[in-house]
Order: sequence, then C-alpha cells, then structure tokens
Amino acid sequence: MKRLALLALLVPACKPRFEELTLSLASGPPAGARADADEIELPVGLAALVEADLRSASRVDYERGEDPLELRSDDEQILIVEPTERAWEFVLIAVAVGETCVQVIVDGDSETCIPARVVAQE
Amino acid sequence: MIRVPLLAALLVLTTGACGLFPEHEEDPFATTSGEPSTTGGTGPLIDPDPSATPPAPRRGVRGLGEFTYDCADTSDPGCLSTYQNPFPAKIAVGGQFLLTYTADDHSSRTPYPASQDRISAVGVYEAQVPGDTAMLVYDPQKGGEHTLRDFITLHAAVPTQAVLRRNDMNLGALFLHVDDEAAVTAFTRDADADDLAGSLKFSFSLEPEGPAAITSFTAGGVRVRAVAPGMATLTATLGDLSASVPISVLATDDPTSTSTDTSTGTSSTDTSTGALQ
Repeated sequence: MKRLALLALLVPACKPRFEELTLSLASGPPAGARADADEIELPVGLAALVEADLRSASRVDYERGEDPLELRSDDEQILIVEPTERAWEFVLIAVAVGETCVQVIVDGDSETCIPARVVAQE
Repeated sequence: MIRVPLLAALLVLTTGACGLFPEHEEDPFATTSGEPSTTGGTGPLIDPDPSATPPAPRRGVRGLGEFTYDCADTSDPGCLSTYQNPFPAKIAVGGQFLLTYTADDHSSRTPYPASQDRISAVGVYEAQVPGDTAMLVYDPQKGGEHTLRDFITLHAAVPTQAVLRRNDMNLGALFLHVDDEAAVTAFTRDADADDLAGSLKFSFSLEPEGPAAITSFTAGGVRVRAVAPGMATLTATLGDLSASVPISVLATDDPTSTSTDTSTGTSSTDTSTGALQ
C-alpha cells in the first residue's frame, strides 16, 4: 500500500506541466506579420508560417512529436490556424479584419489564449 | 488621319522599362521573333504570332513543391513571350490566371486563396483587390482531416497604364512597308511602372482605314497589315486606359529601311526601353 501511494506521488512528476508557449515566425514572414506568446497580428489575406515551442513547469520537458499541441482560433471567419505535417508547426491565415483569440491546447487541455488581430493591408 | 512627321515618329517614346517581363536586348531566337519573319527572302515582313511560354514556377514557402502560374487565355502577357518570364511579381486587378501546385512527389494539388474576397476562384482565378493574398495548398489526411502543405503570396496591383508591344519589345512607333504584317499585343503596368500579368480584355481600333488594317485578333493583341502608304494610329483600350501607336506605312520601294521600325529594336532608335503614354 505504501508503495502504491509513493508511485501515485511520483507519476505527476513524470509529466511535463504547461508553463509557457513561444511562437516564432519562420524566415521571410510577410510584412506586418507578428506572432509571439502575447499577440498575433497579421494583415488580411496573408499567411504566415509559425513554429511553436512549449516550456514545462515541471522537471520533465515537452517533446516535439510526443506531446500534442493544438492551436485553434476562436473565430475562423477572422483567423484560421492550420496544422502542418510537422509537429508544433502551424500556418496562420488572416481571412478578414477583426480580433479573435487563439486557444493553446496541450495534451487536450486548453492552457491559454493568445489575442489575435487581423488588420487591413497598408 | 493623324499625321506624324517621320522624325517625330522616330523619337523614342519612353518610360522607364522595368519589371516583370523584361525586354530583351539580344534575341537568341531572332529569326523567329526578334525580327519579323518574311514569307521568303524578298517578300513582305510577316510577324509570327506571339509565342506563349508559361512563366518559371516558384517554390512554396514551405519548400515542398512548386507553384506554376499559367495563363487563362492567350491574352495574358505573363505568358506572351518567346522567353520564359520569371514567376509574375504582380497581377493586374481584374486579371484572370491559372495556378497549379506540383508536390515534390509529382502529385498535383489545387491552390485555394486565403480569401475569396481578394482572389476569386471560379474556374479561373481573378484578382479582386490590390495587395497580397496567400494561396494555400492542403494535404488530405485520414478521417477527412487535412494539413496545410504549402503556400505562396501573390501580389495584385491596379493597372494605371496600358502599353503596346511587338516581338517582345515595347512599341513606340511602327514602320511597315506595304504588305508587311505586325503582331501587336497590349498589356498593363501599375503606378510603379511594373508590368502586370493576368488576362485582360483589351479592345483595339485602327484609324483611319486605308493605310493599314486589322486582319485578325491574335494572342493578346491584333495583327496589323500595311495596305497603302500613309499614316494610321492603332489604339488599345481597357476601361479608362488606352495606348496608341502611330503606324507609318511606306511604299514597297521606299528606301526607308525596316530597321527604322523602332519596334524591332534593331536600329539606333531602338525603343526597347520605351513605352507609350
């Protein structure tokens, strides 16, 4: 019984725990595009390739390809976030001018929401 | 009839040449396009119909395949050349075009615009508004899901200038001997004087009748035949835009060489860097 209790205590420590997501635009992003953990901004009609990374609050790190990460727009009439075949790599598609939020879903849990803004082209 | 003194007609009417469909100083295919062809040594000069060559493809942002621009019909200057132009940097608002994607495994995909308000996709693509628009390609996945495979950005611009061209050269003035035939095409430029791709529907007129006649509508333009000595003006019109070129028709025995035909780019008054307006 004691062994089971000890095992139960250890199991959570073997999993990463969400602390932070970072976003970075791939090289050659469209003019006016901006994407980081605090805000996404993209001129309407454009697409931008972004790579995400996850930081764990526990001693166990997230592993690309092992831990599923999903980014989902609250309003796909404004912004669509499409996955690619590469884990943690996404394409942001600015459909219409407006504001929405991009949900960060890690291992099925919604962890945070990144404010997103689609702006008119200059 | 508009009379243009010969010397004035010889003046190079220029704007800065630039852009998408560069004029070519030396034509490696001169016998077929750089110079009008002849019907047989001493016969009249007969231009060949403009060649249609799709522009060079462009790799997608993710580098997993190539986007190929193609022309919706034969009036797209993006394809009207003996040479392979680079992938169009700008497409005319209102211009129609085709676009395909070939993955590196040689499979094909259909590109979709990020917004149909910006580029419509009904049979052919048509630029609706100026600015940039992403064209997206998806890979199907099991269970009806899909992932985004690749994309590029196309740039559309409003045409602000019409330009006439002959044999891959911008046309400032046209000199023909009786029975010569010239193939003249029309295209547009934007406010930055950059050439615009995309099929647009120009209309053509030639006045007065007599010295020359439009004998047929060719790829992206018209074929003009010199009928009798005199002057005429060929005009291409697209909405509020127009471009005109004076045509001097010379008698067959006129010593004025066709090398003064500024459209061929072979004389000292080469208009290869010139344009109308």
